[in-house]
Amino acid sequence: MQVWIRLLATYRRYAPAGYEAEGIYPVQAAPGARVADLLAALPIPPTDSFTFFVNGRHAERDQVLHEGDVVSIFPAAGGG
Amino acid sequence: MNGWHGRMLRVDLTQGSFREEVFTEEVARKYFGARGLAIRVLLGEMNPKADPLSPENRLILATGPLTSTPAPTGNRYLAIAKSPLTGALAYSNSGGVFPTMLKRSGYDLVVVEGRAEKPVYLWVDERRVELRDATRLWGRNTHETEDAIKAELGDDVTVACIGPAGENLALIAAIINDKHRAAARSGVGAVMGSKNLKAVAVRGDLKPTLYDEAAFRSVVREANTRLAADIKKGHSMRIYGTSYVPDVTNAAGVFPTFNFQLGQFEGTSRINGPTLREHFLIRHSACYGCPLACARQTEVKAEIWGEKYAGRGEGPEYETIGSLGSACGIDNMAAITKANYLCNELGLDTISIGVTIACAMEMFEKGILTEQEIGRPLPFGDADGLLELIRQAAYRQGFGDLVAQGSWRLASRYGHPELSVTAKKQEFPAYDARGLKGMGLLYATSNKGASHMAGDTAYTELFGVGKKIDGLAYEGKAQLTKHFQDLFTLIDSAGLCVFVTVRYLADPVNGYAPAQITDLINHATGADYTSESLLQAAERVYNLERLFLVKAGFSRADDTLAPRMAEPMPEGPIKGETFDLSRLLDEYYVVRGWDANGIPTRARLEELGIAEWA
Ligand code: SF4
Repeated sequence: MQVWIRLLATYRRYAPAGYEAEGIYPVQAAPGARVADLLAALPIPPTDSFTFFVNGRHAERDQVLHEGDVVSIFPAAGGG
Repeated sequence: MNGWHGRMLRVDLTQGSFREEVFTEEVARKYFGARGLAIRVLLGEMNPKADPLSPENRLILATGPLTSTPAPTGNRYLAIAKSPLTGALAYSNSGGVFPTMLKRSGYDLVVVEGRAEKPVYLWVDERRVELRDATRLWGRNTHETEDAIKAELGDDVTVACIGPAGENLALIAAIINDKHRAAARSGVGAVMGSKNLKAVAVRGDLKPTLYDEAAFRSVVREANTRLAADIKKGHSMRIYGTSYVPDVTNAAGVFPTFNFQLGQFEGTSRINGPTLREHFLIRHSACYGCPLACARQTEVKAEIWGEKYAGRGEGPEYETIGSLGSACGIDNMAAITKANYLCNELGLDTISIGVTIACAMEMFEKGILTEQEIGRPLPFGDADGLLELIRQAAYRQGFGDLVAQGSWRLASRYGHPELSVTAKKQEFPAYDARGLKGMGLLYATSNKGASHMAGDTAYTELFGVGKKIDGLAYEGKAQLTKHFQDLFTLIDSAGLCVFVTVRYLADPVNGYAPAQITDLINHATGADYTSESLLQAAERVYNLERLFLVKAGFSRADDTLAPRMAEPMPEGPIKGETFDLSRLLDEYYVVRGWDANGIPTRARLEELGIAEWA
């Protein structure tokens, strides 16, 4: 199935070539894949603290993904 | 005394006189920090029901024990008064260089009362104090004012001043320091204007001694090392400043759009961090000594964006992008940036004026306001209308006279207060409460009306600093909001900036305890606070502030939110969501130890050691 990864703020730099500007790109995921599986495939350093939404909403790492889901990911930097 | 000068400067503008007042270590501990010492003055000396624009109101410029120390972001002051916008309290936080130099001028606080006969400015140079004539500065904008004062006193003075908006008593007028930093909210600029006080200029090198400087410096080193490591990896706040936030709030559906009718804005990618960086950024800048340097000097070039948007300055920050941008349906970053420059030059709060103009745009589109009343058509997205109304508001000309009073008075005048997105008559910052229940409770109950700076639970509900929790959940939010209100009282009172403090000087992983903040305060002042007792000191301040509100006539009936938050969000990730305050308010009062009417109980005041103020 196809899901979307949307990288925000400084994580845009991890987007595949050609997608850095908008930061959103499609990936293939196995049926039943979870958020954690998707995150594991990203080159985010293990020491980073980051935040993610699924379709703009709060989610846990073990949430099962569905066709067309958008997972937004960004470093936990705070601000306001 | 360590960590403090132990001195306030008292200025009576009616008499044209000033004197020093000392305070003891005991007082500084009981009434903790900038907000603690200030509320002691306000509660003790003025009638909380007094007209905020009368000579009786106090304008207090207050630093904390960490202001002017090497603590990361120890560079803040607060402008504190009774607010003419809300009738509640104003405590507006600003950084830059001025707060550090205010402290080094030899005073922890400057308390101004009365009203000068003619415009004056206050000049404090290492405890030499002078009131100087400011007649020729009256009418000038904040940049011209600062330049003129520097020409008179020397380049090494720093200046906080009002622009035309404050002079003309716009209820959403700010006090601007160092040209680009704002103590923006709740109309503190109008209080200053009502006193005929154009500016405060300070200089000095008087620093309070630190109780244990070596221990202090080692806490600073450790925090700076962690921050530096994150900056090296690429810190969003260094690279984009707060302008990275629109992408986050838009993704979560809480980015105010069309006066909070929607939570996602189609033009977000044109007004976000990457756009600002690519087209407008000149260089990063920092408040005094700040290792994060999240501020940005920017320029809108005439040859690219046109003469009408051209300018140079700082910003826009996230809040400004949300209020002058998406809330008004404006996706033109050059125009938003120009509007930001104008607000700084004229001395206006970008949040309140943006959300007020957004309200006017909605009223225009609904046919409540006509072209004749406004003097022009004012649809959402009208960038030129935005710029014109900002100018008009500062001078109270035409329709700008209503805009200058904020959205609640504007919408009420035309019989539609429900279109004003405010709490206690102060405009919301750029987080829709329907998606962030802790923020909604914060806006409704804060002692200063809607404000993210009064206890930004978005740190955990949205940004996930420390721990990410569900913004939509109600469970646990009463306790969470209370904790963040107390924590942010502490940050304000200490003289710190939220951005670095929450992540590097508090312990976000362990319940956002004020870990290193406590160490720094103890090493600076020689106190022996624990995290718990320091939070309790902040809670004491918070309750004293609440008592001021109660004495001013506030109660449960005023702890409300804009009716818009009860309307289901029409679309986006939080489609159908409302904010139901009734699910949180009683629990919040219980957690606070207040009665069902929102009044602090005698028992809680006794526990906090402040029953004498009831
Ligand atoms: S983090 Fe940003 S706003 Fe805060 S003190 Fe540093 S430069 Fe100023």
